[in-house]
Amino acid sequence: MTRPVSRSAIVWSIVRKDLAEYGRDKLWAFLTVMVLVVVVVLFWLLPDDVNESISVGVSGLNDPSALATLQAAEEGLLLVPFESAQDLEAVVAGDAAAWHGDGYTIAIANDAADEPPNGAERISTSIGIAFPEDFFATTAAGGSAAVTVYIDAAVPDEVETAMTSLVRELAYAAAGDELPVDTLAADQIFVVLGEDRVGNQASARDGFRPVFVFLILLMEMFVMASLIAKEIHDRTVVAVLVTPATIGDVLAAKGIVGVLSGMAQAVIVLIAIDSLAPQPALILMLMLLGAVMVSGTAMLAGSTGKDFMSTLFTGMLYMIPLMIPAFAALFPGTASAWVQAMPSYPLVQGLVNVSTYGDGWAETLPELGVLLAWCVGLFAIGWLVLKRKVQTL
Amino acid sequence: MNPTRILTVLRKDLQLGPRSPIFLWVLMLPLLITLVLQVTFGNLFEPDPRLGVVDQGASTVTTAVQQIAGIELTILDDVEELKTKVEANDLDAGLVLQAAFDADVRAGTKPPLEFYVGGESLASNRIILAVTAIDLVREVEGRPPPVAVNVVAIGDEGLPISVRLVPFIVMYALLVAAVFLPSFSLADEREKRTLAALTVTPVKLSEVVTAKGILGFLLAGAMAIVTLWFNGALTAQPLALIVVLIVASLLLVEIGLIYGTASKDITGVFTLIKGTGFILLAPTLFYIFTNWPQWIAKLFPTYWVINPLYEVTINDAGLGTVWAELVIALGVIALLAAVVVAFTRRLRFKLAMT
Repeated sequence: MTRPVSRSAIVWSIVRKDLAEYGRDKLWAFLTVMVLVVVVVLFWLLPDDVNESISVGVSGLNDPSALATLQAAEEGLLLVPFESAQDLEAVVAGDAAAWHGDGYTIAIANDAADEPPNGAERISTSIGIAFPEDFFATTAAGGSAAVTVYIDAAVPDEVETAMTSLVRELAYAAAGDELPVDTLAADQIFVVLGEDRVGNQASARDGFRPVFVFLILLMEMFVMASLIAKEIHDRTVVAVLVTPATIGDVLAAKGIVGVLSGMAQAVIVLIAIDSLAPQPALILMLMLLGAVMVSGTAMLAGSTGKDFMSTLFTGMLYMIPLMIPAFAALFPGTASAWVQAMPSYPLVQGLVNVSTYGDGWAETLPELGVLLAWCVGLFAIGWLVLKRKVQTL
Repeated sequence: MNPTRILTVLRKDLQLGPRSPIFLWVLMLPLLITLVLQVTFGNLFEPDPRLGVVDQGASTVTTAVQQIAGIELTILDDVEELKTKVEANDLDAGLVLQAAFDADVRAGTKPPLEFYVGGESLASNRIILAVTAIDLVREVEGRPPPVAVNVVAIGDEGLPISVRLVPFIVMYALLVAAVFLPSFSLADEREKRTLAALTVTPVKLSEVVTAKGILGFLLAGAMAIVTLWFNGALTAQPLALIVVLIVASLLLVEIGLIYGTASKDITGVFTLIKGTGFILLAPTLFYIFTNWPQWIAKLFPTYWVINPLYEVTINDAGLGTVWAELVIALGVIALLAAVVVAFTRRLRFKLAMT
């Protein structure tokens, strides 16, 4: 005498069994917690701002207004006034430390016992421009001045070239030589295209946010793949199939476990790295689709793996291409076409657009659509491959 | 210990080993990491400013930009394409030079300068590209500047990031071959009970462990040389390189043998590697981030093989420069050898009890 059992009850029983197995596997439990902790700690260790300025020490410009005018005109330069060219050279050479206070900078030689002034902040500069004291007077009178640029040999070539050009342009301006071209804008030589993000650039923390979140999902892929491989290797899945459970129930349960555990970890990380705030529902939707996608991939990897090592290896083969879009997001600009063709690209790009640029549902619809298509495709392939594998046991 | 029996076990491992995925890891990972780090991500740490130019004539400005080191130049045909790329942050800035740009500048008719910068470009890149572009336009004008600029370069040039990554990549090659291979191989044999089966033959456990160590040692040396060659870092000091690689491989093989003999299965080895891998690789980070306090690197045991490797491969140092560090490394090796012996005895006891 048996009473009929609903499919959902069977699936739920298998889900509970899988979750219990997951919890019992000490290695994966340890790795899951470790990756969660490492990701969160690393995220908060990353810098939250972007240094957009080139620090340049300047000597010889005794007129503070000249320095202020120069600073205002040249966004991207951080000008630090020095008393003398000798101080400047010593600081650039690393023989002295520069201490900057309110309107002054002093250089204290490394071997000197002098204490820095109260409230002064230590600054470093690898470029120094030593103007002669009569620089403006000479050039304005039509003469030729001599300027020395001290530059650390490690400074990139393009910066060295730009500093030389900057000095020449200052001299032209002092001499009253107008630009030999007409600029598009009245107050600066360039026109900014797109939203001007100077002072508000995406930081390393912003850049790595989708990488870390996606890493968590990939970790979940390994766990799922390993559990599936273990079930196949130990043939426990065959034992489950002699009960009223069907292959469909088993696969549905695997999918649910993968999505649940992936989502749970992703949500923990998103909260811990303070990334849910801008669009919580949209970010959770992206993560849900991402979790479905990695569950499908885990079914693929798990059905081909025989043991821990082979599962790990197969998982790596799937992980590397899926990771590429996450790392590509660290680089400025549009990703190459082949990167955009990766299944994980819409997920990563969606996360970048929402978390960094504040996109909403309407702007993210294309990514959601493509991601959904990939999810359905990968999950279906994973389902079919795993089903076939189980049937052959 | 009988060399013939060790060779027999070694031969068996060489024949059966390639069936294991770990062998493929040993062969593929160093090359893959080289590719990923050097080709793809070498640029991440030190990105060059990116300038696009649409030259509708044959301006000397374009030729001059091509000759400036450190500016990534892209020449495009279409102004709209240039503007799209600049706006999408595929370029930091874009310059449009009209058909008779040079002639108009020289004639003093002030042609328009179409210079666009992307909203996401860094302020530092904007100023680099803007002042450089203006300076080049001034050169077209042909008038001598009212200033003489004397550039004084101070100190050493420093090493590019691609070179500073080499210790990490080589260390990883050594790690995979010298640590992963013997440890996983031992744990796998223990898990599958073939290790217990071997011990009922005349082969002693110490001989099996030694054979695994030799396999890791040989592959580590080979993969380190291949990786160095792949990274263009094979040194002019072959003797010093061989000595350093022998010492480095020995030290890491011993760590692998400790992992292998201490773990009861593969998952145990994996946990050990995941938990301690950072300690083994940590000194390599100090070559990438040169502004970190360098003395911290010396606290890690692997520093004493990584630094000689760095000095010999990157700075072409000879044995005379690195002998002191190698002596310390040999001291670490002697200590680890005692641990390997102790763990092998412990393993023999455990196998006898099962």
